[in-house]
Amino acid sequence: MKAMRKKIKELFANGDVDVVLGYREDPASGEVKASVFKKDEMLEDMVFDERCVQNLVNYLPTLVARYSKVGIVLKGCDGRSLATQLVEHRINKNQIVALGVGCEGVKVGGKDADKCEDCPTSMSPVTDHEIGDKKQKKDPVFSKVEEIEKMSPAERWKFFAEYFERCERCYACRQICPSCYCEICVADQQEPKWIEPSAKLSANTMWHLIRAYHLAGRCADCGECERVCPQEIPMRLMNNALEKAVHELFGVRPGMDPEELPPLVVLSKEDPDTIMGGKHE
Amino acid sequence: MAKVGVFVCHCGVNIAAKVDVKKVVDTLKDMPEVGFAEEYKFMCSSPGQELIRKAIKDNSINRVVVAACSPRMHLPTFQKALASEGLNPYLVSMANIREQCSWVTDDPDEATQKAIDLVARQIKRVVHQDPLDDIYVPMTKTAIVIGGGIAGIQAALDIADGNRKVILLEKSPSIGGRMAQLDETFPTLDCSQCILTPKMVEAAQHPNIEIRVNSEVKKVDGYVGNFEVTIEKKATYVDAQKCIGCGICQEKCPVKIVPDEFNAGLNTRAAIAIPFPQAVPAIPVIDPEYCRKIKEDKCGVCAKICPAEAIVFDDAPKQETVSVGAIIVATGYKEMDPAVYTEYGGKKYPDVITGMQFERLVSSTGPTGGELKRPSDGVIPKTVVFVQCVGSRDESKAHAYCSGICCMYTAKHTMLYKHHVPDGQGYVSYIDVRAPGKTYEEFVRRAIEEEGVRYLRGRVAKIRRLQNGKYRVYTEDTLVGRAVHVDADMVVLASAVEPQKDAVDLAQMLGIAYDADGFYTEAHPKLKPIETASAGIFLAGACQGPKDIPTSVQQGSAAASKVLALFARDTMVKSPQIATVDPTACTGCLTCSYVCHYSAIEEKEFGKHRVAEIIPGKCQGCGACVATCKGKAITLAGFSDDEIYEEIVSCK
Amino acid sequence: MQIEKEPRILAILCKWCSYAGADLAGTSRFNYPANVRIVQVPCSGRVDPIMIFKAFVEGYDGVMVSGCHPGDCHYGTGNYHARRRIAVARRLLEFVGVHPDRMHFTWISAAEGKKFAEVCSEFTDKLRHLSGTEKTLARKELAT
Repeated sequence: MKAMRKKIKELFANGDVDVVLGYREDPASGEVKASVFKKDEMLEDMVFDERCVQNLVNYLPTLVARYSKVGIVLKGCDGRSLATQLVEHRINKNQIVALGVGCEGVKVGGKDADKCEDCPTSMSPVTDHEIGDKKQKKDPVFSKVEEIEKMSPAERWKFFAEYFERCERCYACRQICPSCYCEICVADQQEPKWIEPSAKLSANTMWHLIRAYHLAGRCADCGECERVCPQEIPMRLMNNALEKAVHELFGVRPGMDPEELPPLVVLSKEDPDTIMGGKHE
Repeated sequence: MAKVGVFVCHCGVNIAAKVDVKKVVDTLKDMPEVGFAEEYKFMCSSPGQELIRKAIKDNSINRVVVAACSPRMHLPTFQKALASEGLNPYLVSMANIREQCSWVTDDPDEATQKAIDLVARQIKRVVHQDPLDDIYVPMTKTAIVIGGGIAGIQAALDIADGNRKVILLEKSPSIGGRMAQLDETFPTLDCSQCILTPKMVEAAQHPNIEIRVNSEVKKVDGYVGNFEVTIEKKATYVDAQKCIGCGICQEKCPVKIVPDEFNAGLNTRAAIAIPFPQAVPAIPVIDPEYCRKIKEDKCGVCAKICPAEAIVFDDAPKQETVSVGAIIVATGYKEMDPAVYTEYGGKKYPDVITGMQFERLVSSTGPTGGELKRPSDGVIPKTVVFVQCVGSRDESKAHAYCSGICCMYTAKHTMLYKHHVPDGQGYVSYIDVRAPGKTYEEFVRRAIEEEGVRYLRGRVAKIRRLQNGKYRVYTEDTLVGRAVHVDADMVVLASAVEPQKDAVDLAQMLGIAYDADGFYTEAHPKLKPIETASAGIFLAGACQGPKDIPTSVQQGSAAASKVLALFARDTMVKSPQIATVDPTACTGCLTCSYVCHYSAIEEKEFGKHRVAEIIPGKCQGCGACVATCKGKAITLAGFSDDEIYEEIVSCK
Repeated sequence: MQIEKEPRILAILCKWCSYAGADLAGTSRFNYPANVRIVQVPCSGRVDPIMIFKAFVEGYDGVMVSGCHPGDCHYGTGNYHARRRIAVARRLLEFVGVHPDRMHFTWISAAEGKKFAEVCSEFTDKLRHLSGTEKTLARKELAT
């Protein structure tokens, strides 16, 4: 923490950043929230611990529009998120200073966050400065995805249909997702109405399918969608299923390399036809 | 308000025998979108089309559905019918109730039900179709010919004679190609240089031809009528404007160890050299791999001696982009390296040479001045074995295909050999003699009967060098059924015709297809042998497959005539069914640009934002970008989400 | 007249190869079940998986997508992009419970009329063997 504050002070002093995006503890409530720190501010309120759950990358597009240089404190998962944003030209790398901080995992509701179980990076893959330790971590195994995959198709549908039925279509998952940045979301489009606006199973199914598909090869598992869902729909399951799929199909782990294009826009003549399923001659 | 006219065709009995056409009309005529419905025996006939015209006039319908055969057959017919009544031709849709219904369905009730469904879907769809206007793009009436061999020269001359500008691009320092290396040509035995050189000079002097040597294609953008070709001119270290071609530089250059490509590596030349005496242009080039000035900053004799001060040691490659309307690919072939044939010495034996090396050995401009002496010791070879099909018709070692020209050039070689060494004995080891051209068979007979060349049918098993300097060629004579061997002074391998090393790279730049061997693929093997699948790109010569000189010349002329036909037009009509970006919905992620095969998507400023923009002239309407855009900011006219959505959801 | 029980198939076909292949099936009079509904797209690269999702939700029993064989795409590379998208879409659909036999993704050339008819027949056969409980995703009012 000391090292982080020192580094940030140094960045301010050198004029390397106009503002720094980090986590602030509200002294009154003790709550930890995303916050923008300015130059002459004392940095005592800045914290970095297991309460820093939010993905700060979400705030970057607004900030880089206002400031020419933005520092950002990054957990490993948020760093992956940043990588996906950089490759899609959402953010200009020249405008940000990435402060990677060695992350020991975060807690949600007092428990270790699910997403930390499969986290492949204790340190952001994109950094200008690294603070703390970078641990070698194992590749994700997605054991919960594997459990679902063992079920029969009908069982799987029963599992998901129950959740889809509950969806209120509040779109909190969309609003919180750094990769959901379309000007007009397909769910809000009128002509044609691929996804009916009313919250009913068929339309909700369409929403959850298209949400997951649009994130395939782009989602780096920051887990925010699931965290904010008022109905506790296991959205990470679908995200992870496709993360697992793009790794198995194309050998890609989204977010690990800010130069790597999303696999669904990469031209590959070498993919075997078997990836589409069934027999091909 | 859309008011759809529905016209259901009987197609004689082709549809009507299975589909209850009347029931289709009766069922659909009350759909709210439908303003008129009719059935007719042959909708594609003049009276059939007249029905549509009449309904547009009398019933004020503004959309049309024709239920008939496949749109691949008659959609243009009905589009014209609409246009003739002043209705936009893109406001018609066809329901395919013949190929995809009456002809493939057993049960008449099922067929009728399916037909009703198919027509209803098109009624729903056509309401969402928008009027579209054809796109006209200008035609750049300049062509580029890639490759300055005989096929390319012929193509360039014909286009130039047709009064169009043409750029003749050649990667080596001179035009002329393989033909310039040949001594005499079959079946007439006329001197190759004597018939080629006038053409080379004519090309150089033609006011419509711009020859660019030492140059290669680096990038190709655009489409028929409007290609942008990026050319890179290699560093040659000689200012072509100043050089007078006197040749004193190559005479005085002390580094005379550069393998002479023109002489198929049989001798060496200077580090600065004009490739061959008749080269066009006759401008020398410095080989930077060997030049001491460039490598070590020593020597510099050429610069000191050059009377024109044409030597430029700090030369660098230069890129330039040219605009052309059509491209002819005439990159020719290379002779296979026979090194894989270790049983023939694999290039270890100095006197086991290739067909092209033999050409140079008997040529008066060759390393021996036209005297046939074997490379190892300069002895005049008294016995020579010519081995056919080295690398051809031999899938296990090299290529399955027949190289086509070797039977003939070998017959020619045997005759040239006899003319050089009248008391020598030539042998040919062959599998079959293939001589189907005009007077070709007679030419081979002449070699055998008049020149006394001995043809042995069979494949050579191996070649071994003997103590006495001779080469024992182990082969067989399958006609008498026994193994034979010949002790030869020299062996000539008819090495296979192969595509150029970088043939595939160029194909990918051009977006043209190539076969498993690397030869370029024509659009249709019989009916479109000059065209490629990419409009405006044509093929000439051996880059498309092994070819002799007359065929290459024919194809050069044929490609030129295709180009001239194209250039007879001032504009090209392009389909308006292309993609467009709604800049207000675009987030500027540009992921669409990565999937565009035509590089048609560029960045553009839109207010403060960066957005994608599709260049209408480049877009071919495939829709790959549309499926990539998550925010649906891209629409493909004719295949919009609206139209496809209706087809999916309105299905009963 | 709704054809009861017969599985309904949506076939999304590219204009240059597979749609022409379907036409050739007709020209050659290769019969196949009447339950197949073809949607023409210019290229398999135009196929947005949202179309496939919608088809299942709208109650189609099976969805088929076919384009030109790899290397033969009229637009050069559209089918390669389609292959990746479809591979991912299939994994997602299977994950939420769509039976793998309800999807058929393939390449059919303009010369393969017979293959088109065979694929339609075999696909229909497979779907006939699936029980009602496996017809997941469809809107409730349709899933009878």
